Amino acid sequence: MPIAKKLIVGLSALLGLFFQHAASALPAFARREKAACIMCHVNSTAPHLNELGYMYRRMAFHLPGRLGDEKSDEETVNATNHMAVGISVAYQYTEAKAGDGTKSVSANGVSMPEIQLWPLVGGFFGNFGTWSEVDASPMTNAGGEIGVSQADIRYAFGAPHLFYNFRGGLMAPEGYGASDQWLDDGNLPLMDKLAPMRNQETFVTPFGAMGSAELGIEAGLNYEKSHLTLGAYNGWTDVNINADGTPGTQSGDLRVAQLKHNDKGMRDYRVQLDQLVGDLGAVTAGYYHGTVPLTLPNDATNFWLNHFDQARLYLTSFTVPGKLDLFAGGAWAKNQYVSTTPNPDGTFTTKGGFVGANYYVMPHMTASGRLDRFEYNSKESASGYSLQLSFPHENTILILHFNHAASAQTSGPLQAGWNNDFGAQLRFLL
Amino acid sequence: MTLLTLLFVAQTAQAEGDVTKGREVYMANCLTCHGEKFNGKGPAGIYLRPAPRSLATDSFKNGDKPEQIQASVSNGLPGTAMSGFAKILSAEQIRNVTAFIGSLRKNRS
Repeated sequence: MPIAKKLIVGLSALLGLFFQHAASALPAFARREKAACIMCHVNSTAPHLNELGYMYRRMAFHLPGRLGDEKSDEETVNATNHMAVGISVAYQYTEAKAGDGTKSVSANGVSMPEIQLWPLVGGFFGNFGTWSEVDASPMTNAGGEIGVSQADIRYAFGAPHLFYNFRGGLMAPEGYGASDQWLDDGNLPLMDKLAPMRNQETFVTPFGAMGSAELGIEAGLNYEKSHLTLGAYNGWTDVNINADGTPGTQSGDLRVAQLKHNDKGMRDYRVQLDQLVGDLGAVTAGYYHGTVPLTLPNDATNFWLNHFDQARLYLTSFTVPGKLDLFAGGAWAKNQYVSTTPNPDGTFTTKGGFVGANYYVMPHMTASGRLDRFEYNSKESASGYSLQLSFPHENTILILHFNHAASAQTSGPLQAGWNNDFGAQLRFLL
Repeated sequence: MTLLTLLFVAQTAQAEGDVTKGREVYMANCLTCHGEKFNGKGPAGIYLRPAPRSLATDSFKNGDKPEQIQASVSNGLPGTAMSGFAKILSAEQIRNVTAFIGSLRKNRS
């Protein structure tokens, strides 16, 4: 397609943003593909992708058979097919018990509205695709912080049985089944309900930084039901823009420049293999070299930097197709930390695992549960469980969740504590 | 008399739909799942569970009378990837594609 023609198509899409009619009740992908949500999502419940949904995403948001079809992409260029808006209203109640026995309520209120904007998503020009997401909580977040949680460009080419895919930009990890947002639609893949332990030996969120978006590039090789991904990233990155337009949280490289040590930097690497096993489920195995910076309280200069080498394994079983999924995962990591302070460096090991199930009670109701256990190091560990009911219906979803997490030790002297977290979230997608 | 005959033919075509135009609607909206050979094995259809029907040979969940096919196309089939096309296609397009699907089934044994 000539560049001029591409510009015209792109301009048409932008103009459509301003002259569109009322949006359809279905989100952008469903509108574009003239399909029901269940075509790509297990039991219509986002975010659980079925095999077609997984292929669609990896093919830069093209259905198998339409990859490389410029004409089809051109015909479906329309603002309502390439953008979406979500508004969430949530209630949160969190109760905690510290090691000395004192109880406290750290959250009890309604937060509204959280706004999610996907300004440009979907497939373009036959082989290209993009995913972008901006989050804001203007009414509850002091300063009205706006966060770019993801913004990437994708390219894929080949045939459904053998194709190659590439991705670049600010990206969240993607996988299949248990490795990919299996219990809720947050970017954290799993074990996200356990709090990170915040000291130099334990600043490892369960399963590391995999849940955070990172700036980087990825390449994928896809043969039949085997999908290999290689990725290189610019460290753990959190891009935020304050209400006054100044940069918010610093990105990894800005912090690395302050390191007094001859450190190995913030580069992260990932290798991941998703092996789909017909209708039975999937196995995902991966290696991740990650880096997490930890800002010290009331200290703008010094921080800890934690490198980890992590091996992961996820299993997903569609035990009763369309009715019951079982899933499990585990990770083991060797960690090394360095600091900008005179404190000594060190190493430690983390390991953990989870098991869970999704039961599709009826077309618009899913019940989920998960058990987690994580050892941050040889002295500190946490375990917990999550229960969730979700009620998706076209462009609306209601999620009720209860999480319980217990720590064998928090920072400081050895002590035990726990917290309970109950929440309800109602989300509208347009 | 000729005029009356023409009017009758035109009304019948409107009620039953235009097979040729219906084929165009099929190619643009249905082929990805139901396939080029109408056998339910389109490029996306092979990944779907339950698998899309063969429009030429399989029995239909809601029956294969024109009004039943039209209802399935318009409203979709809950619990499957078949979405309702009432908000996507015009009434005329739905009539046309219904006529086209009906034409595929004339040789069904």
